[in-house]
Amino acid sequence: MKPNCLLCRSGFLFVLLLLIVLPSVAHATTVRPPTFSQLVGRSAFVAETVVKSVHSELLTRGADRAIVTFVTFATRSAITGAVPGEFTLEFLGGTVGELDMTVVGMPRFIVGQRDVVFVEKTAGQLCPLVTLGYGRYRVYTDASSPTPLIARDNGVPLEDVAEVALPMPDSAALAGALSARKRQPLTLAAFAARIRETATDLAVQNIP
Amino acid sequence: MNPVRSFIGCFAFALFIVGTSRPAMAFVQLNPPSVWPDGDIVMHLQLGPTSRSLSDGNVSWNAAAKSALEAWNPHMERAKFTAVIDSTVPIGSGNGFNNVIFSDSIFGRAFGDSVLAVNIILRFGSRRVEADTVFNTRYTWDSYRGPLRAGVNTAEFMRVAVHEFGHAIGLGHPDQDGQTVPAIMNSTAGNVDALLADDINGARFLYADRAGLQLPSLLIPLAGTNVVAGANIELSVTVAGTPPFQYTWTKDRIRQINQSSKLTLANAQTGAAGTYAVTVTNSAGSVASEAVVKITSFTAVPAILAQPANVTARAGFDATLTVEADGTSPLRFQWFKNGAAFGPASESRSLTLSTVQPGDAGTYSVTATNSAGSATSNSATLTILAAAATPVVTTQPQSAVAAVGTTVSFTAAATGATSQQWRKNGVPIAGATALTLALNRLTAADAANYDLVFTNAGGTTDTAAATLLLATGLNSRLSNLSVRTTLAANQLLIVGFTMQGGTKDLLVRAAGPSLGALGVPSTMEDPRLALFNAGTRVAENNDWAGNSAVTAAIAATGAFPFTGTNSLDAALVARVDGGRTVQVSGPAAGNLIVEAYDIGSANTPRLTNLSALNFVGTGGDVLIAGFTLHGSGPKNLLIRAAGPSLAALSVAGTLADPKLVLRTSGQAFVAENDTYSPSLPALFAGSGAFAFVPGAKDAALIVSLPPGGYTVIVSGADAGTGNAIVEIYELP
Repeated sequence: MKPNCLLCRSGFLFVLLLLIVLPSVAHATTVRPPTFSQLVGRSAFVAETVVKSVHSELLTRGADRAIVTFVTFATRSAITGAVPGEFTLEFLGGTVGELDMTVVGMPRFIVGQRDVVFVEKTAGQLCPLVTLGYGRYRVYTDASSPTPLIARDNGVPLEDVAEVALPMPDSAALAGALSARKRQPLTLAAFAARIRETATDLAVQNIP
Repeated sequence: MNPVRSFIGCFAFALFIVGTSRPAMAFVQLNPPSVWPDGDIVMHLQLGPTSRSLSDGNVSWNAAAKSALEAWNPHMERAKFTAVIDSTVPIGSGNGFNNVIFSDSIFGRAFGDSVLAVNIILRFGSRRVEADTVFNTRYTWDSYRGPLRAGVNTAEFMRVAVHEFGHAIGLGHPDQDGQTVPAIMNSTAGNVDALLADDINGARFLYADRAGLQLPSLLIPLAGTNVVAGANIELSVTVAGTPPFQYTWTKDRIRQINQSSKLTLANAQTGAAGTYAVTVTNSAGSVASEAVVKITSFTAVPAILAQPANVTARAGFDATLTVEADGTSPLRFQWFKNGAAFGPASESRSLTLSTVQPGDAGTYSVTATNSAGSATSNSATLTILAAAATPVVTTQPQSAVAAVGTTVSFTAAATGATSQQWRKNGVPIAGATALTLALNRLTAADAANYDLVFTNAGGTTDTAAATLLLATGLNSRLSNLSVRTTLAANQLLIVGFTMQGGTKDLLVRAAGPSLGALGVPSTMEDPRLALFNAGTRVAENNDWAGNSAVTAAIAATGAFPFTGTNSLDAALVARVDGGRTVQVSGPAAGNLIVEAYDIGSANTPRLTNLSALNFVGTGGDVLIAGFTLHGSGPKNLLIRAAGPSLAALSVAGTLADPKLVLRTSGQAFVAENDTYSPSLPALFAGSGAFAFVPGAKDAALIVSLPPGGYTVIVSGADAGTGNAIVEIYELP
């Protein structure tokens, strides 16, 4: 059934407004957020994962010393692309003993977390996920239902895939603003379906 | 519905949302919190030349970056940015330099085209050690103010730089913590091109002057709980310290939108279970607490997860037995000793026995109970060992004065110790567990007191605290010494000083009659003085008689004028190099003041040591010495009051237990000492002072003082009387 209530339409229009207006007057200070289509299109694969292991090492490269964190993901479900059953990604930053290196904006992981990850097509990028935290979505369950839901890297529930193009704070502001009505976070199943639809659309567009 | 009206309505709604702000403390810190130590935050600006002029008139990227740094400085007290334009230090992460650069990659990883700039921060514990700021060369940059201009691959430098430098000092994105305040630290920049109130509040919070501030400490930490679904849970902490506090909550390491000391989970369901943590921060530092929340669908019977372990404790120490149990809260624990109930049941999972004695030995067990049932642990044995001796310190760390950028080491030793831990101002230094503590590349933040705690089975023994002062450079000098006292007829007052670095004129005075004109009663009628060089009398004066050189010197130094050319005060001007002593006496008793003034203006030559030897009485007859520091910067000084150690030099009738108090000329308290620290003898030797008898009750302290007038009061700590010498030595 199509949503037709005024409230639902206002929420939709609000998101639409932000999508139309914000990119022209404001963008993330240090990150240019991708659209949902770009997020999917720039991904080698997208998977629902659980973090299996995390370990950090202090590495040397010429005169540079940096902490790199190796995160091994076990795939719970493949969403699009050729998804390995298990894979390890390298993230700049981490903690070794009392020494900690933080790259502001870089996502961090702990064992047992469930995520949907958008893995970059291009190897050797600053972050192996598309546009830092914009390529990582948390899978969680809330107090009311065991159905897996989707939140952004900053923990704010994702209500519409269009929100991924918003800087994360606007998502947070949106969450606060719309708290008067119950937010309806995307379920994992719905999110995965939208990813697959978009991947298909992109593939069709690329057919000569 | 009219779609245009609907659009306008939504737009108004959006404006309302954007304009809605939460109250103060909206700024957030990067998690985990870390800040720079006190002093300069040196930023090496290495952005290279511009290929064209910048729209805001800045002549280079480095100049623009310097402006961005300077935007923060007025709002930071205890640490500030210092910009090194066109710095040539090595570029790289983990090299100890705060590089500010353009690059297309970081540690071999390509920037890509979606990230404008990043800040890479290294911290050790809660102390920042490096913050590199890297701007992406993929973009075409300009620097301007006002609304952000459209452009696919263009970026505005100034607002990004100000934002990144905010990360460099420890600020995070308030909007990513659920805050909706206008701030350049929001990850949405837009038209904000300068610091706003929330950014400024953040900088002030993190870098407030720490003087008098107390670190937050946990009075009541977070407590874990295990409840049946549907219960209301309130997690909270209570802290001590200096407010305001900032509370940062996480659940399973994900930030929660809450900045208060309490986090309420109403009608908690299984999805709310997890590990909750809160970090409480004030301007002096932070403290964290963590707890696990478990939620079950039924009332769970208690189960012992970890049995209490056997404990061996030495008599006189505390012993704690602990059990880990699961089950729906609340759980109550009843401990048993040798099978009999021991103390009342409580919700505590541990049993602590204070200052145990042999009679506390035995077997202990515990029963956990809730409304669904109970579980009893295995027995654990508490064994009590006989008391043991604590370590004995054999080598004390020695106080030092060292320059910024150099290295200094502290070494201590003890017998009977099994381990040791260095502390800085009483706080353990991570990893500093050797007998020698080396501090490399000294900064202002390293100036502190350091001691070593030795430990063995019998307990701990602390060394004396060694003080590290940073060398001040030659920006000021000792320009004047005065000693006011009462002399009996023909009693000698001996004043000494050392002129170092060449020859200089000194005005030396013994004022009695003219002191009376200032309201001092019972002044000495006719003081006389004599100047000695290595035991040889080189000059003397009984009545100054309007001497022209003395008149000129009084005018030049600002000394109080004599009442007339025929007054019976004594004074002379002498050219001095090296050490001299002045002996003052008079045919009749009375109060007088003896003074020595540096007539010149340069810091070299200068007085490097001043001293006065006299009888110390009680009440108004204590020994009072004044001195003046003249110049533009602080000076490190060693100040001593010797009595017992004078006796070892054959001075008779010495003061048994001198105490010294240092005040400003306005009588504000600065420092005091009764018995000198065993960490000072190395500085005594280095400054040319005679050695004190080890363990003697002589007094000494080291201080770093700004220019101004000061008074040293020497008295008997036990109200005793006797001869004492007060000394003031210049330190590097």
